[in-house]
Amino acid sequence: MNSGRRIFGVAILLDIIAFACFLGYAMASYSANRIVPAFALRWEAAEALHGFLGALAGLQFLGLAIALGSSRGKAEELVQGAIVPTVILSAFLAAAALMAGPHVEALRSGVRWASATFSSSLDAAKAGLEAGDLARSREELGVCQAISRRDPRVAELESRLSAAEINTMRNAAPPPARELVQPMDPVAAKDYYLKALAYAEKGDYFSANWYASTAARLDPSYTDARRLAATSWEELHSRGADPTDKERAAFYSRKLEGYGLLRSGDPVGAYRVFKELADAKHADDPDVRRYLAESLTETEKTAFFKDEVDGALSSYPVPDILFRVPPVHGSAKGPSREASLGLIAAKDAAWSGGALYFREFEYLEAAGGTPRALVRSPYAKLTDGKILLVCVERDRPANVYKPTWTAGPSSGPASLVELPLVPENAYRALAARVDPSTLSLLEAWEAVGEAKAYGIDAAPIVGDLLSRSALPFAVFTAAALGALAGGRFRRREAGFPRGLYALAPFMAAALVPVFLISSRIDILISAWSARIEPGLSSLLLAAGIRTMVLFLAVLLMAGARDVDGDGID
Amino acid sequence: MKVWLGVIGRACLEFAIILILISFAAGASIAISAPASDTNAVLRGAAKAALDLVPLAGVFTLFLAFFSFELRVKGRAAGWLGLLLLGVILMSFGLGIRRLPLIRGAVATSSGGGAKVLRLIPAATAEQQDRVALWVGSFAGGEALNAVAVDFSSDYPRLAYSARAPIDFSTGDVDIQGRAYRATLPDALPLALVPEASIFSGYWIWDRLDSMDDAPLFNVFAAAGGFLLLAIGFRFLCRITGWPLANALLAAAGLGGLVALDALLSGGAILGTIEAFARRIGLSLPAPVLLACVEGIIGLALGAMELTATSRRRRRAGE
Repeated sequence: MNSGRRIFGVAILLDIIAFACFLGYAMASYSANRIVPAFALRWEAAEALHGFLGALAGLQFLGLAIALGSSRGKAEELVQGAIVPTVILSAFLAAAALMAGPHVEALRSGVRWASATFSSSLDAAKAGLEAGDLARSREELGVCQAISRRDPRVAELESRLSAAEINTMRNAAPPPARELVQPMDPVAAKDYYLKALAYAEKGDYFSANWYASTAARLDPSYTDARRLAATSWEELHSRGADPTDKERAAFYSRKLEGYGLLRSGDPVGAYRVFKELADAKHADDPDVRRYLAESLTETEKTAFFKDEVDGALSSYPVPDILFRVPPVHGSAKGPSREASLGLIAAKDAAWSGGALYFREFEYLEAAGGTPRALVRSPYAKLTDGKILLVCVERDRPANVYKPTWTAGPSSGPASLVELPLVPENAYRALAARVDPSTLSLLEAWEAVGEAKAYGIDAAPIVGDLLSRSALPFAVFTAAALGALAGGRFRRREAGFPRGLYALAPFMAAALVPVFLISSRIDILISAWSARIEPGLSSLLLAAGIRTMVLFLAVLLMAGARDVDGDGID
Repeated sequence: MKVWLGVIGRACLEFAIILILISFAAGASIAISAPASDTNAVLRGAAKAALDLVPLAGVFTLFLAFFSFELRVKGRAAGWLGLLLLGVILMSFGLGIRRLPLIRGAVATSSGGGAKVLRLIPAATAEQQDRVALWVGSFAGGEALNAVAVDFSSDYPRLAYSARAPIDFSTGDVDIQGRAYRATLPDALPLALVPEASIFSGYWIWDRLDSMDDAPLFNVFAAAGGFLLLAIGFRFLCRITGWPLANALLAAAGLGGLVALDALLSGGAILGTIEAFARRIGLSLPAPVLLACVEGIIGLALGAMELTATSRRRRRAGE
């Protein structure tokens, strides 16, 4: 077998064996207490890949050394014949590692975080149930369900919690009915009446009744409005409703209330009413269906649902958020925004479905040393150009999480803040600070520039780029040195007994300390480059140093001479 | 003889290269914690490390020389003597240099710590230490302007703001809404190349020789000599299997094993046992000399076993 084919064969075989060993170790060290069983296979594969990619340079050294160290022929010919296959193999492995690395890291971080969140939420849900705090228990269990619904621990707790909730509901007194009180407003009453007329002409007696009733409430002396309300009400009943049926009357009344809330600009309240009606066996009613969908659409424009936040935050949140809203240059809002300072703080943030979700959100806008706006909200959602501050529980619409304004709002509604933020960019800059290894090379490169605009420390992402850029150099240098070591320490006696391959595991073990120290020297090169030239220029400096080391290794490999047939001098 | 001397000469050159490389690596790892303005920190650290790490560079060189002697010098005894001579040259050089009055003076001067410099966090960048994040718009006239602090370990809400937060330059803290927050960057830590070495900290051969600067010369040379004989005893690793590549890698691991064995023997419990045994048989030698004796005996025994095994193998091959 020529040295080129031998190199490919031995190196790839060694890589497969090494990956199998890492996978075996990951499986053996897996613990259900640490990682949720639903993620077991993904976790083990990610761990094995992580270990394999980390040891790639060492494996390349060992593969090349074994391939050439067990070959026959003149040493210098072997080494020189190994150059092309070594370059091809190293280039392929380095490129594959650079592309796969971020996915592997993202998977590991995600699984680790989800498992930690699952465990802490499960404990909190149990504690809440035992302490009688069912709302908290339900909230924490919701987090667990978002992560792993089929987990037996979740199912068991769900049945216990449901039983406790049913008991609590049975013992609870019914809530008092809400009365809508509206001030006298004849002008608005006329507008409402005209709308009611228009709806009545179209045959939409439901809407006509609501508008006419509202006009009558706004101006009790408005007899036309009262008359229209009565006629449209009769029309409604003539189409199937029985005036003596109290249950139906209550249903219509609730429907009207929901419709009123929707038309008066409270889509969250309307959604709550229609959701209750839908849940109370009225889901087939065409009005309920129509206005539930309409209120849902309207709600999504000014608010968001808690399950969205739970789902996002259970995947992989970035903790400890503090960043600046980038100043806007040259826009209509420019001068005021540029002169002011906008900062966002949150307990954590997570990216999902094109939006960025925050928990325990705080926004400060200051100008001239005075806070112009200071708002806090338990949850917030950043979509293009605005941050929604109102959060609703989809299944329990009565539970609404609202913002609290300590100062402001300086302009616009209190339920949202309009800010020049692009969610994707903001998330990339935030994630780069905490776990830069999960970003692709391109994203990481972009994140360095964005970090400055967002007032985020770019050092971690530059450090990660330095570490990633080291990988190709390490693989090539290790391959060159491996080829050299293989040629230098070849067996002088004729023939190569196959039994000697049994030494390979011991050789790998013996290589571990050398590999560790080499890796740390590589880290030292990165750290020094970052210290001498902070920022992206440190990448050039580190690459320069590593190129010199690689050049030296290649020089040694290419200049290998076998003077007396006893090995390379 | 020419080849024999050639191997020793080449090993001396390798020693110089190894010493320079590991000194710079060690110096750089220590100096990473120095302020960025201290441009000579690496050179100072490397010079200090060069003095301390002579035994380590020496043992590296010896292990490389195992293979050179194996390849070039046929006689085992000649090879053993060559290694011994090489070790004596390197150790004597290192220990002699350390004791020069000029070098001792320079080491004493460089070991004095410099004044601590406060490094304020960069303006317009959120800096987080532990779970407290601080953002300062700019620094002016002893104040941090537009300072925002968020302590993520405290209860929500957390955001604290001060348009002008005074800086306490004695501590590096800024006062925001009545609470002090650290506005300085933390001290960088040295980057340990071998953090595992802390297990036997103080017992490594280089640490021991470093601490013996004022000890009698005989004790110092005895300690170095014992270690040298033990190291040469590990020569068997260069022919432990029939595959030189495996031998080279096992020798690399053996080098770590050698320094760890030396540190283990010099550690409290084993050295105490050796001292107790010496007292029992009436030997009243200082601890470093006793340890050197034990190491020397182990090294010589390993060397003798290797010589015997080689002679037997050669006789068998001749048959």
